[in-house]
Amino acid sequence: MTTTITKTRTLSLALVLALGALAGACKGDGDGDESTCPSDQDFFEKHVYGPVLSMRCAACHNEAGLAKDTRMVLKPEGEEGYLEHNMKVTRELAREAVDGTSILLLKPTGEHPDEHKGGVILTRESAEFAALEQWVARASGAYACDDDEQTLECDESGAGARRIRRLDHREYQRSVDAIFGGPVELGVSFAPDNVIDGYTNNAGALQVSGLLAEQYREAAEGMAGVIVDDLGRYLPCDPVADGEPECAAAFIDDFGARAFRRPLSAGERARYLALYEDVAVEDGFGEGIRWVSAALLQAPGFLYRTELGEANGDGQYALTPHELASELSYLIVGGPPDAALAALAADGTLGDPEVLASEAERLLADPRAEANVLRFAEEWLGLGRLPLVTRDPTLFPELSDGIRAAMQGEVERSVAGVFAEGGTLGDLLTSSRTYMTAELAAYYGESVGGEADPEGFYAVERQRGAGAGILASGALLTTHALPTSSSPIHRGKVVRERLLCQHMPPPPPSVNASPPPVDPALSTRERYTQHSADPTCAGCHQLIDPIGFAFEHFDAVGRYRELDGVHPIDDAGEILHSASTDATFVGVAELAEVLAGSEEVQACYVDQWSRFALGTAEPGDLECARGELEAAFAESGGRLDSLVLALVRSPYFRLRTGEIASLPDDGGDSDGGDGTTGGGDSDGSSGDGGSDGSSGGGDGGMDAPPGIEFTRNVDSMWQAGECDTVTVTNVSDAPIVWYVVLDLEGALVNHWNAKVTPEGDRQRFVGEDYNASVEPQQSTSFGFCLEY
Amino acid sequence: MARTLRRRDLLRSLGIGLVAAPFVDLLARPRASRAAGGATALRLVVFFSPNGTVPGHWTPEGGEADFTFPAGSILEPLTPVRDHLTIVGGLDFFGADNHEGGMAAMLTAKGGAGHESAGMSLDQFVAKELGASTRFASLELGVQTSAWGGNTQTRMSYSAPGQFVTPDDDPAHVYARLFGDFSGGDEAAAKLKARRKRVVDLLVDEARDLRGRLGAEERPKLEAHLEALAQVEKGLAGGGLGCALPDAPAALSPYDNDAFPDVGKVQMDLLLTALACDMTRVASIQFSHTVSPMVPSWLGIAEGHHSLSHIDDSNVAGVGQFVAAERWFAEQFAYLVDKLAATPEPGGEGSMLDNSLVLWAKEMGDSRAHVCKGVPFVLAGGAGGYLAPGRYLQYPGESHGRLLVSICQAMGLTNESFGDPAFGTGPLAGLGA
Repeated sequence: MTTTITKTRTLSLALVLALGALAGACKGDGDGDESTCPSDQDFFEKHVYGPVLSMRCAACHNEAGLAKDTRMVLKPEGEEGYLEHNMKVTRELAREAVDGTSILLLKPTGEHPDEHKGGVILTRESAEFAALEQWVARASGAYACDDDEQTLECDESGAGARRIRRLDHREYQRSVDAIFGGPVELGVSFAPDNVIDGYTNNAGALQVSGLLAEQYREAAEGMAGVIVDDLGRYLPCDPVADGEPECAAAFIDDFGARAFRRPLSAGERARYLALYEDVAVEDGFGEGIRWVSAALLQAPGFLYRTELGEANGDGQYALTPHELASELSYLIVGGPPDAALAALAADGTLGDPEVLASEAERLLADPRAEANVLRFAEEWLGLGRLPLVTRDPTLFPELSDGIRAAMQGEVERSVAGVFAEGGTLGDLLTSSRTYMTAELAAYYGESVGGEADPEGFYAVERQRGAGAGILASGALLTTHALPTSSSPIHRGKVVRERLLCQHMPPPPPSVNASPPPVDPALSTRERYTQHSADPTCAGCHQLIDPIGFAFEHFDAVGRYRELDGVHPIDDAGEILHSASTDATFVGVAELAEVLAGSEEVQACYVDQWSRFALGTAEPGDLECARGELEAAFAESGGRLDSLVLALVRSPYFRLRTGEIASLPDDGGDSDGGDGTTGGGDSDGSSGDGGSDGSSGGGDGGMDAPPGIEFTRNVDSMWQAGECDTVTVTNVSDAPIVWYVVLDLEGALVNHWNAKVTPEGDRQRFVGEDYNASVEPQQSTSFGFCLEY
Repeated sequence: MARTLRRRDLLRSLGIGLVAAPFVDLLARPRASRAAGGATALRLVVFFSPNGTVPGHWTPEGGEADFTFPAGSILEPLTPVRDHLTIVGGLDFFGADNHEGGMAAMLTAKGGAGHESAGMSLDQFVAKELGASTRFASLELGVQTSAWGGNTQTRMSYSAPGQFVTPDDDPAHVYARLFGDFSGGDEAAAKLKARRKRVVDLLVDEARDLRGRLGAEERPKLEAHLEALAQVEKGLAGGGLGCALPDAPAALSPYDNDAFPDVGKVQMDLLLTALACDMTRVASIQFSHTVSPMVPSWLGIAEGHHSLSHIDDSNVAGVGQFVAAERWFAEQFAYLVDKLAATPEPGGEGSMLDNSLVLWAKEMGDSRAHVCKGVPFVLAGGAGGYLAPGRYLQYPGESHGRLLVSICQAMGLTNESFGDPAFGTGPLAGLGA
């Protein structure tokens, strides 16, 4: 029942075109002919080989791999003519179909009648699948560039996509701590969010479920109780002297601005005041404040970071000073703006890029910035499981909770130390400097001296695992091991996936994936070498096990060992089939040196950090920001903080682009309804957009000023009513204060983004303060619901 | 260079489906309507334990009616409740294999948006039809499911393709959610609910405003938020408790490995109470997740469950540990079944178990081979007469989607397929009484 009207689609296309002949090239990406369709080779390299074949397929589909006898044997990057070869191979497969679908699409999705021995590695909904789909179309000549759906998130200005980000659970905690001026005990643990690529702050995945909404409510009511118990502390006024309603209004402004990280709009203020009045009239001032507080602390304005920007007339949206402050603060310190930053937002000076950059420098030096870096490192390297990984207590009685906590303190101080000193990725991977409590030092067999920090940690130049940075940290080694032994597989995998950014597929079905049982007659290396000798396994395991062997001087709980049981240790290792990091080494320090000198590892780090900092795993987003970040990172010699400063200076940070509000959702997703008799009668929903672009006064009783075109889209309809969105577009050359008059088919029960006044039988809509005027060639929208 | 990936596809690749507007949702065409008459179950309970099985240690002996559980086998702890069970062997998850594939297909049968089951999991699909009359359309309880966050490995319930339903792992929170409103007596509870509803109304307005500022790509986030608020509002509906207020559970650390059995027991007790109080008709309890690292330390075992599940037969002691762990899960299932059998049907005849269908689902068949063929299912209860328990049935090579159809029909629904119909349609022959 989406009575999407053809006009709307035309309009959306027109807008797409208006928003930019720009649409297309990412900055610094591609050479020359950017406005046109990418060539097959370009497309293959950037969208098929890079993100799909090399990451998902090549581990098995190589000359020595598990899939070496299939028709898809890929040549590794760097080998002479690899791209041409891989294009040719996949083109042939693309052209071969079973029941009309290319086997290049059937195999990885597990839909092929003969199945795919490597299991299901893509879903039809994935971006990778979409890339393969286009490759198939190109291979069969069925592709024309016009088929491209326009996407606006990454245009040549480098602007970021117009998105909202729900606070992740740590940002939430830091936000409430900031609002209350100290640590807040929430008394409720929130439902864990979906983890994307190891990160828990992916903007696409962060949504509010029914369970989480209840938990937010519980937390908000708890905090409201704290406020009511100590009202004097939180009120900016005296309810007796100033009057209760006046004081409530002042509280809503004051507390609301802290919660929302910006001043409340007039509409919001009125809404919370109405809530206050409803409660206060029954239960008095204090209860009114309680429920207003509880509402503010679970409102979208608090829960979402809404750095959406305001239209700047160039088809883009520029972040407001308040939005810049929020974006900057959550990026660097993982929490809301402090008073100094908020002041610069309030007086508008933060809009100056130089002020913004100097604030970035200031925040980087703020102790809170460390915690955010540590969080990244934890998710990057999977260290968060340290407190939970299980070890056999009879084999490793020394691994107490205290030792685990000290290991965490160790790795945190190591990372924070490198970061604070302006250190580099290389330092992180090769430094011998670490931090231990006396207890942890005894556990590792190191010695401490000098002065301890307040938590009892001493700076130590590590003797065992010297030169191996965080790779020799107990936290990493313990997290990536098994309950009863070290694990070359797990340790090799963390290097392959998190430092080289190559995704490893799971073991295919029907192979024996049993880990080799602990056998005192064999060393760990011997057990794993035998285990992976089977050619079925070797293709993949050669990519990880030889890296993991370099860690063999460290046992399952992070301690250095001279012997593995009674066996001497061979910690020679090798990186195979990488893009540019192939090498042999002996021991973890040599591995660290190889990694520290690898451009591939540098690029991977930029990618990993971007995923975390931008809260996205979308190739498009990452691609948009990548060029500048990689350049800045290289120029600084891999300084960890250089990425933050480069991002803040980029247009990606300050500007947004994206669909305007209410662009119809392709009209294709009929939200659960097929046409019903109540469906839009044509005059009610076909909007204007007639030939002259002005009102259709005689047509269904609609009206709008000259220069304004509008379209009305029925978003949803049920037996008793409907909800619509109206998109208002200024087709003239000058700003217009718009209005739209509609003859509605039922009683108006709700509306948003517009004010409404009855005009006879019709309703007259005008914009709110923030969208009353629409710039030339720009649009705004409003919505409403009716009951018939 | 023009970007060619479609952004909506990218969104989907992150597990973000397009969420229907909440008001539409309420009126969505019933894809399966409840049949009039016939024997139907009142409630559905899904019980999950991870990492497949070792078929040689699982399979019962004997035939359909005279089957027994061999001494030392995984199902032997079910002997006391044998006559309440329908053992279903041999089913395949077509088109799915391995841990993740199995976890995703187990309750969805690889359904997509265009299929009759619309890509929902069994529990959510049934809840959509049965959930309107109860305070919670469904309840999802977990035991250490979320230490790794939400992903395909850790989730089994889907409200739409790619949309996980998160289980609640914290008994204290479950208790607060179910019974927290009632601690101050009925009058206070009514007032509290009224206040909360007033706040929800405000939040809905706020969420709609924000939705209006967003482009189409971002709107699904607010649609999901509005749907969440609708669920909260539903939870605030209704009058008194209608049953005795249970004591709050003892404080437990939800992610302490050694607390796994205690958390499991408390969660099962809360689930049973919620069913007995008729707060919901559809509930699930998920013990850990596929690739579970849980160590059954309380059985004297030091190895993680995932590692145990892949031990081959040459390691007799190791396989023995896995069987011991699986027998422990069978004991948990027996506990749940036994409790339901011992509780009279409120306002009805027989026991709650007689009117329930309890499903023990696993995500793989032989764990050593990582395959989803011959996946074992155990059903318990009379399902209101739909099942004639005390039987062992084998359906080699049939799609487990047909079992899900049978279960839907046991719940009174009329859908003829579940998940991808290419793998089979209609209920399993001979399963219904």
